[in-house]
Amino acid sequence: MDNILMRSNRIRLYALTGGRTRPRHHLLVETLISVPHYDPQLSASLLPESQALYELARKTISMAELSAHLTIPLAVVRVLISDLAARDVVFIHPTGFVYQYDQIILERILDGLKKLPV
Amino acid sequence: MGKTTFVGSVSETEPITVETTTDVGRISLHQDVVLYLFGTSDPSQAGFAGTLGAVVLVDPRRVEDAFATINYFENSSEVPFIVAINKFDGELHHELDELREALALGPGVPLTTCDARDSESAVYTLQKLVAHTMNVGGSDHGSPPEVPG
Ligand SMILES: Nc1nc2c(ncn2[C@@H]2O[C@H](COP(=O)(O)OP(=O)(O)O)[C@@H](O)[C@H]2O)c(=O)[nH]1
Ligand SMILES: [Mg+2]
Repeated sequence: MDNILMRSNRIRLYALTGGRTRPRHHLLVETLISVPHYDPQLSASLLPESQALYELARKTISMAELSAHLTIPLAVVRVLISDLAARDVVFIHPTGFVYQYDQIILERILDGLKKLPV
Repeated sequence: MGKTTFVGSVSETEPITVETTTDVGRISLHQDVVLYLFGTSDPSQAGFAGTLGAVVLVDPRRVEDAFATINYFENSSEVPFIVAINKFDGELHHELDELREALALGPGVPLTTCDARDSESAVYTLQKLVAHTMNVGGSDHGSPPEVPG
């Protein structure tokens, strides 16, 4: 992509977040985002960047993937997702503390790894 | 060494590089279980919430490069970890025992070899990690820490 275009895109995105770079939620690169109840009307009402995030999150997706797919800097994705979450239109999955030492989940992970076609 | 290669050989998606140092990959294991992989040279990045465990990749030609990372996992982190010697030229020139000694690894830390370019080997390494996490997590980690609000 053209460098100048990328630069202005970036500036625009930062403008979009109102210079706010501290999101209210704990959003890490691995944090998963999803849309619990997809609403096409709501989607149509969103600004393009938020709309793109909303559409992608119809299928559970990580912050890292959102940032990469849309080539939006992670810091900006954090702010936009925070705003969508504040409106309860996206769900921020709690990061997996609970699963870390859950033997049943670990067994399923191990089982899944053993069945991978490699 | 070999982090990007490792993530790339097991991830079902092209690894994504975020914030210049971290490779992110994913493996869908079941319909409701997705394993995310993060390759990073900053071990403090690996201590985030929900980390199932860490694989420390060691270049056998430069074991000393791994000292700081191993120190970090031994002393400053609760994340279960294993150490994998990346077989850079197809074979090991040292016995695993010698390498364990050179790395001053505690007896509770699994040490294995892997070829990061080979997906079978990389997946096998992940299996060892998960098995280790199951072992260390057995009894005394019953109640998870609170999720910060
Ligand atoms: N022979 C061999 N080469 C490897 C192995 N893992 C990585 N490499 C090579 O080492 C170089 C650095 O690997 P890379 O994955 O980029 O390392 P990173 O800096 O940790 O991400 C690349 O040229 C890889 O092809 C391995 O297990 N065996
Ligand atoms: Mg790399």
